[in-house]
Amino acid sequence: MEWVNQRPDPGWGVLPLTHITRGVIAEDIIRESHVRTSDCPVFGEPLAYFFYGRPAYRIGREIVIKAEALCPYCFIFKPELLDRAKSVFAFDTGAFNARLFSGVIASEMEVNDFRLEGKSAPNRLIALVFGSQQAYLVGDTRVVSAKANPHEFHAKAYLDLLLSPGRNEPDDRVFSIEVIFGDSVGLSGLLMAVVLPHTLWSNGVKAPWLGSLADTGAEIIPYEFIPGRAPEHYHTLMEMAVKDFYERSGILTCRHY
Amino acid sequence: MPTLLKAASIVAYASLYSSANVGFVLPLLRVRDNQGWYVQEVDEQTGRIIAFRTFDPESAALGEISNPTAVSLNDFQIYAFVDEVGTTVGNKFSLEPALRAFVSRHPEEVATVLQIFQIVGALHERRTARLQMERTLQEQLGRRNAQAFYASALRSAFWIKLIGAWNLGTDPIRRAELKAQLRLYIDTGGYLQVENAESRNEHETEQLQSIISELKAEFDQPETPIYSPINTRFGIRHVQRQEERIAILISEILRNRRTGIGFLRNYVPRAKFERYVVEYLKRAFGRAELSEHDDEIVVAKLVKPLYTASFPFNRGYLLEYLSRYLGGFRHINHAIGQKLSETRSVYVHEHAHQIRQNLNGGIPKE
Repeated sequence: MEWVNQRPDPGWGVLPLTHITRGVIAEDIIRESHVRTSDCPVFGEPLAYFFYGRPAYRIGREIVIKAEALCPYCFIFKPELLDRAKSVFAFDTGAFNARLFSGVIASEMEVNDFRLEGKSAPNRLIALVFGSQQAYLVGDTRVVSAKANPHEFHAKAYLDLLLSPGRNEPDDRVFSIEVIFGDSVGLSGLLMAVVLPHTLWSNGVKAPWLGSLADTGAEIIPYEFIPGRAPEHYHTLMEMAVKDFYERSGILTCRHY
Repeated sequence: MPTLLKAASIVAYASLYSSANVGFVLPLLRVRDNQGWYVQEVDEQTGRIIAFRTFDPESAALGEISNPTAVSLNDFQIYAFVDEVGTTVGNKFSLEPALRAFVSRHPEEVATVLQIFQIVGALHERRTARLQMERTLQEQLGRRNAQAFYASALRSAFWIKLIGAWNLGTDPIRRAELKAQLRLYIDTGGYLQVENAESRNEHETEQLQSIISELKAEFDQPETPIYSPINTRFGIRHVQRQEERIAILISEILRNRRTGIGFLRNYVPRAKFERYVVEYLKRAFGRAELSEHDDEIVVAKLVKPLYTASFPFNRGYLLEYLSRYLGGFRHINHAIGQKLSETRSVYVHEHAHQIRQNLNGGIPKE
C-alpha cells in the first residue's frame, strides 16, 4: 500500500508475532517443534500464518468449547521472526478471500493491493491509523483519525472497512496485520511464550508434551478454562494474557485492555 | 453451523485430549435417522440451550454413553464428566452430587476441582480451589505464571458477571466494543480496576462498582499473596491508576524526604488530576520554612482538597489508595477516616470496607 510506504517510520520496536491454533494442532506443533505450512486456498501454495502483535485469529467460533483440544492456544514468537516473512498484509487475507469484507471493499480490488512492503511497514501503518501500538493491540478504533485522499482508493477502502459499523464480520481481523511465511517456522530460539488452558496442569504436569516446551525457556502462561462457555470468552482471556505478557516483558508499557 | 433442530439425544462424547482420563468431555448429540453429530450452543447468561450446531469430531476419540439423554431447546446445558467410575451426563444440578464425590476422592486433581467448583461451587469453594491451583502453578511454573493465571481467573469472573448484569448475551460485536471501551487492569494489590468506567451512565457505573466489590470478596488474598504492593518509587511508572501513583508518590516523600522530593521535582504526570496534585505537592513541599516533621501534617491537610478536586466517580479509589499507602501515618489516617465518615458518595461507599481495613492495618509507617 503506497499510502503506508510514504509515511515516516515511527521508530518503534517490532512487535512479537502470534500464531493461534486449536489444542489438537498445538500439540503437534509442540511435539514437532515447528509451525508447519499448510496449503493455502488464497494464494494456492503452502503457507504458515501469523499476526503482528495481536492474538487475532479466531478458532472454533462455531461451537461451544468443552474440551482442552478445542480451546485456543497462542504461540508468541520473537520480533526478529518478521525478517523471514514472505509477505505482510494490512488485514486477514483469509477473511478477505471469503468475501467477508465485500460490503466495503470493491470486488475489483485484489488482496495483493493491501500488501505492506518493508520491515517497518507494520509500524508505519499502526502509527498512521492508530497512533500507538497500545491502541492497535487493544483494538481501539475510536482513536482512528487517519484520512485518505479521494484518489487513494485502497487506503480509503481500508479505512472504510476499519470504521464501518455495518460490516458483517465486525471483528478485529479487519485491522490485524497478517504475516505470512513460505516455510515452516521452528520454535527453537524463536518462541517466547505459549498461552494455553490451565487444565494441562494438575498435581503434576498432566500433558507430557509440554515438558519439552518448558526446556526451551519459553514461558508457559495458563488461562482459566471453565467448560461450556462461548469461544469468545476463551479468546478474550487469551488475548488479555498475551497483552499481560507484553507488559511485563517490557514490550508494552501500558496496561490498558 | 446452527440448525433448526429442536431436540436431540446425547449418545456419545469426544474426549479430544489424548492424555486425559478424568475431567469434562464434549457431549455429542444425534437425532434419529441422521448420522451427523451435533453439539449444544448455550446462552452464557441463562445457561440454557439456544441451538444445536453441527460438529465434525475429526480424529477425536469417541466414547459411547450407555443411557442416551434426550435434550431440547431451552433445557439447561448438559455436561459430560469422565472419572474412574465411568461417564456421567446431566445438567449442573443433576451432576452436582457426582462432581462433589469426585472432589472428595481426588482433591489432588486441582485443575479439574477448580472447573467443578466454577460450575457448582459456592464462593468459598471457588476461592479455595483457585488458590490451590495458583499454588500448584507457582510450584511448577513459577510466580509470574501463577500471577498470569490469577489475572485470567479474575478477568474471567468479571466478564461472566458483566455478561449477566448488562445482558450481553452471545453478541460478539457488543463484547468486542466493550473490550475496547472498558480498560481492565490488575493493580499492584492484585485487584481488578476498570478505567473509563466514568464514561458509562450512572446505572452501569454502579453495576461495575458492584461487580468489582463482589470480586474483591472472592479474590482477596490474605494467605500467601502472589501480588504485593509496590513500595518503591521505581515501580510507579508501571502503575496504571493515577490515584495509586499519587498515593505512592506521597508515600515516597514521607518515607524518604530527600529522594522523594527529588523524584517529585522530576516526575512527569500522565493524567489531568495527577498533574494538579503534583503541582500542589511541589508548592507544598517547596516552602523553605517547612521541616520534615511538618510533612505528615501537610499531607493530612491535603486529603480534603484532593478529595474535592478528584472526579466524583474516582473518589473511592482515591481514598482507598491513600489509605493503603498512607494509612500508617497517624494524622493522615485520621484525615482519611474523617473524610470517609463525612461523605455520602455512593462511589466511595463501594470502597468503604476496604478503606476501613486499610486504615486499621495499612502499610506501616516503619
